[in-house]
Amino acid sequence: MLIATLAGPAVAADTVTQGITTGVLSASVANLTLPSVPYQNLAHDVTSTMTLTVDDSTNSNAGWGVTIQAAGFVYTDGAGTPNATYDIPAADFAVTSAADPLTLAGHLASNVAATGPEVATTFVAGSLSSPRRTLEATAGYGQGTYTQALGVSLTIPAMSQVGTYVGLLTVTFVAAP
Amino acid sequence: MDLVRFGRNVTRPPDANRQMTSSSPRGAMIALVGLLAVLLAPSVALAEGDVVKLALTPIGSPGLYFDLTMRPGETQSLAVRLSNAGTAAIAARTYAADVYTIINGGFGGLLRDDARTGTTKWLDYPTVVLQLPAGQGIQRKFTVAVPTDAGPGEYITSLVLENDEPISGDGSVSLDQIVRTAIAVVVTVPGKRSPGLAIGVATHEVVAGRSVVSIAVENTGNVRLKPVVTFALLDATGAQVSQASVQMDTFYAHTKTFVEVSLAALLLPGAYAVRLSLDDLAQGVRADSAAISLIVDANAEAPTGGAVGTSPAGVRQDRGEGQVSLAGLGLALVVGLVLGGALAGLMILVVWRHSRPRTRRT
Repeated sequence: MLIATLAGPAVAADTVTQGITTGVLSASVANLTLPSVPYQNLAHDVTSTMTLTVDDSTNSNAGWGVTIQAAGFVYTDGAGTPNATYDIPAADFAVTSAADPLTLAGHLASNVAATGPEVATTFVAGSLSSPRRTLEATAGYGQGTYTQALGVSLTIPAMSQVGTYVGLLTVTFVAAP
Repeated sequence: MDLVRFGRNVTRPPDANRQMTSSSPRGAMIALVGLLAVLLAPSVALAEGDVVKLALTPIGSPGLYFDLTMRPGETQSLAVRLSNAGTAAIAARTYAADVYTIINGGFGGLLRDDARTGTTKWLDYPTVVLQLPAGQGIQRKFTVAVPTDAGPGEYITSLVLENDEPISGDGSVSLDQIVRTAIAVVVTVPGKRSPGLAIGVATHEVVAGRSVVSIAVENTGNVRLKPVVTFALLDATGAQVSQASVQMDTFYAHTKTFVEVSLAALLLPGAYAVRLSLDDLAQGVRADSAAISLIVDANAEAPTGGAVGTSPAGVRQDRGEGQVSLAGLGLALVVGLVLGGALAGLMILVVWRHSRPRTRRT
């Protein structure tokens, strides 16, 4: 019953377990809490800086790229009751800057095109309702651990109610042509 | 490299693989025990600071993604490895996702709850949630079936692996987080290659106190492109306000996206024209726009914020150069009225003095 519920027969027939002997690409974004603000009758911006950390321990030297995007902020009041009237759309949350990456270990970050890790050459600040590629490493580079400061801004609509607003950030590694 | 070693150990014709799990009692038992270990392993809730280390790797295919050549009506059996290199068990969700082109080019994969359309329907890869123990991976087989009526060209879809439960943020205004890895499944159907590009409308928005000009573009052909973008912005007098050249990342066949150019300053309100060209020398395709109208709203706000990461395009624009602000217009009107009134008064005075009878002094 558990197998059927979680995976289905097709997966059961196709699955074997294997140990892992090498590392993978991993990423995380820290400082995901934006400053609290008092109630205001006018729309206003809240700014913050998030930190993207990327680790390439694959030993593949294949290069990589990271995109981030966000879904809207869902409102709940002090009693934990949601009210979609006060949700904040994803279009109001923007990345306003992507700093040059800092190297914690491995290949040195570079600001020279095609010798990354570097700010993605296609990066333009804007709403995170669309994915934005902020950091990339071309093939032959990017094996290491890196951090990147990302400036973000959330426009709080006028007369937003006191409560909790929780958004969803999606960080994606891509292997594609 | 683990991918190679793993592939050598388990790569076999799909039929042989199926035999291992269904016909051989010993193999079936091993697979069942392994599967139960995968499914029943405890997972822990993720909190900020935890790192998701999931990997999705093609098996029996060179490279980091699937790059297939298939004819209409053909079916291929493939396999991927889903692994958790983290130090704790994790509930991982895997699914197939449509691919689109993100702003300025590059891979975009739809999210878990989005509909599956087009090439994604060629895959037999149902969405599942698996408990992956720390340091363990599984192999999953799937098929790609090209419809009999598929035309020639390059098609793309993707497979995604991500943490099922978001990493929780903390605070009254916060973000939960999903970390996913996506690999492309590219299918080339042999035949005539027909590259094509089209350019659409332009819009303006303000980000971090600067103008961002966005132009709709479309890859109308059946092959992926990497065009160089040449951008010029002209004001109402035809003077060039800004220019830039941008190398787009991959622009997938039959997709639409936007070219965005960040300017170094906030444009004055008014009417402008954008000239855009897209040129992919390697594929032998180019598109040039006529003058595209761009209206900068007088209500464009200038919120606070920092600098953008890449060098924004310079702006050559002084107040009064091609654009006249409302304040300037009002000031000019007041000055004109004052000067006009004074001039009229002076003329009346002169006429009155000349028309007055003169008295001769003796």
